[in-house]
Amino acid sequence: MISKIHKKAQEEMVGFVVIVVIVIVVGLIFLVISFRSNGNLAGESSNRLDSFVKSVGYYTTDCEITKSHYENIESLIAGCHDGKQCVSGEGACEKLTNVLKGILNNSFVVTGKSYVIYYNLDLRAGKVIKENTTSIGESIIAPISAGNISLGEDGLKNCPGLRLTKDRSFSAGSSSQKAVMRLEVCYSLVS
Amino acid sequence: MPTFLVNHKSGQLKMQQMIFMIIAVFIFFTLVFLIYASMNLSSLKREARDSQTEKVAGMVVKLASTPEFNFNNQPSSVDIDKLMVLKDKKVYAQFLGIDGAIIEKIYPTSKGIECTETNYPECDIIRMFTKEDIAKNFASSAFVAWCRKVTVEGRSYNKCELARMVIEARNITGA
Repeated sequence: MISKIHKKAQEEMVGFVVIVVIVIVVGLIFLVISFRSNGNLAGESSNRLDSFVKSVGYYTTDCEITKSHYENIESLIAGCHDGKQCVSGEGACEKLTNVLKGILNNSFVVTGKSYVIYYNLDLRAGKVIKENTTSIGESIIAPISAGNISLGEDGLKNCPGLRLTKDRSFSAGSSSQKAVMRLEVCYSLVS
Repeated sequence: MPTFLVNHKSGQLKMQQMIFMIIAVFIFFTLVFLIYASMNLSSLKREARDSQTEKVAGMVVKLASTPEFNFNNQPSSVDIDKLMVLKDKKVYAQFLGIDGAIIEKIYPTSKGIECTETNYPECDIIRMFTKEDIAKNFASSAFVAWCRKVTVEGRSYNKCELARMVIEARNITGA
């Protein structure tokens, strides 16, 4: 009888120890996840992206559409939209594409283990319909992208981390003509 | 074996079982409490750090628009000529509420040449109010246009390149 009671008590204790171990393991997993998650990533990256689309328009290129006047990205977009050429003979669109490629390549490093998984810059013509409302039309230049972009079943790009997009509109010729620059960056959540 | 002895042993076993159970329950709840407390503490620490970093991130944008830094009233643009004048005047660090700032050209590609009075403007990095590399405390970065007035054949124009500005702040009191 004693050994029966003893066995029962042992079984209960083993069961309890198993439960405690499971709870500890689950707790540790939660702890590791909470340490690894990067809570401020969205805010900081969004600020950085915003500053990028704001400052990139001022970049001065070596393209002169009129002699002794070096075009910045903003005016080069208008020049490209109007089909103009640089004094050197290079097309405004070609120049714009090359400069934007160089800027993006130096600003967002995309390698196997980098923080940025992919980026995509799309520059489209737009028209102001109402105040603060722009309809987006055809691409002015071919989209510039880098990194591992795969499409999901819904046809949208797959981003395993945090996807952020920023738009900036530039004037392109007349006041109602706009060019909309959309930058999409996919960040890895593992730092 | 007499019956009273068997009962006695069984009672002792039950008491032992109860003691073990109480100890195990105590350990279990202590562990649960410790895990909960450490999770709470770490999230609190992270929130405090996030809040500071967010304030610093806001300061980068704010700093680029102050008259001491800004170029031609353009958003997110810094006047490199002004920064060269201010870079060693530590009194401005206090005035602007930062410990230091580093502005590094990223396009055209930086060669890592630090700006001094002798090599300016053929340089890529300006260290403001500091000689060290940033990120000992709360630091954040943003893209800025690195701009200055350039005169070629008697005509002056605005020349802007792309740079990254990193600022460091230890004590942030306001947003």
